[in-house]
Amino acid sequence: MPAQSTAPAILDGCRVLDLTDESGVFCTKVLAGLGADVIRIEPPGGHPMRRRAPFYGGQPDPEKSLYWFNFNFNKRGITLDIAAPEGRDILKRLAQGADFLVECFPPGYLDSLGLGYQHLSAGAPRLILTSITPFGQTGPHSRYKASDLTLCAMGGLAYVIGDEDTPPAWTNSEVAYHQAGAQAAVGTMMAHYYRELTGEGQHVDVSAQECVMVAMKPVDLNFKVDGQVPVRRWYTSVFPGAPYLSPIFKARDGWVVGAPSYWPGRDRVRDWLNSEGLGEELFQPSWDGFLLRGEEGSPEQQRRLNELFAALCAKHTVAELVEPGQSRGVHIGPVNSARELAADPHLAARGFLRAVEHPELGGALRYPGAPFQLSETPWRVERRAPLPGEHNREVYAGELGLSAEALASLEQRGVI
Amino acid sequence: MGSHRDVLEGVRVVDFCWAGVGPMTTRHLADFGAEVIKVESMTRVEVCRRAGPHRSAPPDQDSSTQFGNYNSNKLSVSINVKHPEGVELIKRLLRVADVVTDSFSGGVMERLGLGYPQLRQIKPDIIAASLSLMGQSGPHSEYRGHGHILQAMGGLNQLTGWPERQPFAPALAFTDYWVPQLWATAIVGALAHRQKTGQGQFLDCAGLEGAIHATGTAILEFTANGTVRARSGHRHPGYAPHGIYRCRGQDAWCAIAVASDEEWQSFCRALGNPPWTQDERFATCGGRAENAAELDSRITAWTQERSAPDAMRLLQQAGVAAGVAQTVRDLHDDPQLKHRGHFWEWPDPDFRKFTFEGPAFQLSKTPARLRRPSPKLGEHNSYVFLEVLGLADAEYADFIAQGVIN
Repeated sequence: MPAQSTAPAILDGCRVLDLTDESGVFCTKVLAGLGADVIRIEPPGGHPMRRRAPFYGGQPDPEKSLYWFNFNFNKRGITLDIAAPEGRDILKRLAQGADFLVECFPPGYLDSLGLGYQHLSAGAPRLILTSITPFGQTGPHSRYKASDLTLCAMGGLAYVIGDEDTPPAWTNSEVAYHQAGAQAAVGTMMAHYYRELTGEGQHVDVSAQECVMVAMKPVDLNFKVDGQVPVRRWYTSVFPGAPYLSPIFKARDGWVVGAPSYWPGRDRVRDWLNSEGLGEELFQPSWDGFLLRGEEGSPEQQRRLNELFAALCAKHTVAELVEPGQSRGVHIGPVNSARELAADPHLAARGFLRAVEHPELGGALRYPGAPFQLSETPWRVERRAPLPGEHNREVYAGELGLSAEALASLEQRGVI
Repeated sequence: MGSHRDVLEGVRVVDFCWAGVGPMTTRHLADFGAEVIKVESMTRVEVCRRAGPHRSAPPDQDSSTQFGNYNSNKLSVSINVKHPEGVELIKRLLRVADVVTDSFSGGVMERLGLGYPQLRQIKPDIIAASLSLMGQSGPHSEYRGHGHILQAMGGLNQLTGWPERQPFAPALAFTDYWVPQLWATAIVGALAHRQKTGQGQFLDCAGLEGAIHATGTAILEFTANGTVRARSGHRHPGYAPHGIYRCRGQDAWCAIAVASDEEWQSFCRALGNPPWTQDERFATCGGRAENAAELDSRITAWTQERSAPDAMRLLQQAGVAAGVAQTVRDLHDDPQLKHRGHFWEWPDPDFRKFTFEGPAFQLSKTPARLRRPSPKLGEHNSYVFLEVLGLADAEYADFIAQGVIN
């Protein structure tokens, strides 16, 4: 395969069989970015993920799902019915030559096909099988169905997001699925390092519910110490000063996020307010402990500082607040959407967005690039996501050595 | 376990990380057996040691539960880096290190004489990971902030909550719990690469760039179509119904997500096929989405009659994705989490109220373990300086007398 970069990648020469769905696909996206040869295995007819909105140009088309593009670029793609007897044999053969298999089937499904860890590892002791499921491989809820929304609920996150007068809220970006895939990547790389040392593979069992719970740490700590069961807007009830931790402020043309009561830095906020003719009262001695010595301050002081900061923000545009605030050493930033991020000069200077050619669309699309910059083994951005069965011939004929007739016959019977 | 070594046994990490996001990254390394030596200072105490809630009153520098969680399984040394000998001592430690991590703003490690070029001279195959808000280069590399700022800058708040209300935080500081997953992956990957090739490297980990990976499709949606994804409440283009519904009891809720028309039929059966479910407007996913408000009020009439766990069980028995919006107390009673051993317990009487959550992933041969609670400040000075570095007793005493080790 032609590579854009000649630099080595961490997973150069490693083969990943990708049997994930939405709930774990971020894991194989990371492995592909680290340089693995990820073979996306789809059922004949294409993976259901191809039907996920949004679509390029807005019109539903299984070859134009931006959701599919985002999670599957850098991968090759084959079709295979792994439930068909011949399909099972082909998957076993592929697994013999693979380093990783990542899957999201309900617990027990691969076992029922004779493709569980014990079956696959018998002929391939180096294989790492990573299983990403809602609740883990065993246990009373292991057969429960889930979605990103129900995982956010079961992991405790939903209950604390939103306002007191609304139902628990949701993030329109599938944070539970992202967390599951990312933490699966941590576990998979741990297993990979161990294999580099010992030659031994193993089974990595990821619970998406537990992945969601990582973001519950602060809630959980308060519960353990004080027995508090926080609700939405929970930080206002748990930390007296916390309404002021990360509030969103209305600027003239959008929103900023600011932390005027972040310590250290309250004196810088006072100076900034003062330069705009605001907060003369903050120079009274009663404020010194809070503003200059990092004392907690009274709720009234915290509320007032916030109010003054809101008045400052209301006078200016986002651009007039962020750069000047940051140059004063105040914790402040824009509340960005994709539009601002795509035009962000800092990200542009770091070359974050990367063009990926889509010949079928007549041009290139810009994707988020490296999530971290590695000096010797750069993150790979190489090729668009595969079309259905795009690499069937390459893999089945070129690598497994199937004859043209065998291939045609498998195609005809719907196995590939 | 038993016959297997820990994954990162023998890997030594010199850890300058402070606050939350850096320490959570290196906790992954410590949980899987790395010897993570946290370099601290008595004169400028790690901010997280002051962060509540504390397990004892009055609080002290060893009582923070946040610090306790983020730094379990680690060791602590206290060195005065302002003292010229302090930096020299750190350099000696780096000679026997595999990984060095920091979460300072750009330039701080360089000013200490510990930038990557210098580190490489000390230890040619060192893996140096700088974990920062904006990265080491670019016009905003000096920006200050923390997780609350970062999640908004990364685009998450704009996607959280209700279209008619202001953007909302998707947790207290979601990115604090997200980017460590990416960064730990990168560090372990770099270790694997070094194992294979002998080559170390420098990792420039920018929180902003990691944060954006949690909203990747929304970015592509804009760069490809020019459309800006917005907060959608509970609406999801692939599911209907899709919501969190009020149940019987105080502030009790159950999330329900129906992915297909087939699942819709299962959903209707679970409800006993009441006449309203036969309404043809609800027969297809598109129709249910178009009439979501009415659908949601019908469903709420059903959920309100039931406790959230009962609603979940009835729907799960029919094969429908449903889940209680669990409170933190519910999590501690969750039978699945108990079965998985999610919460680690430490038997030390000082920690009687304290458990640590283990990793959300289990490795069949080499699971993570809790070896020790978080260190007291400087707790491992004598181990690290006498045993790891092999200082003579007199030399060690001299460093203490000079205030180099404090």
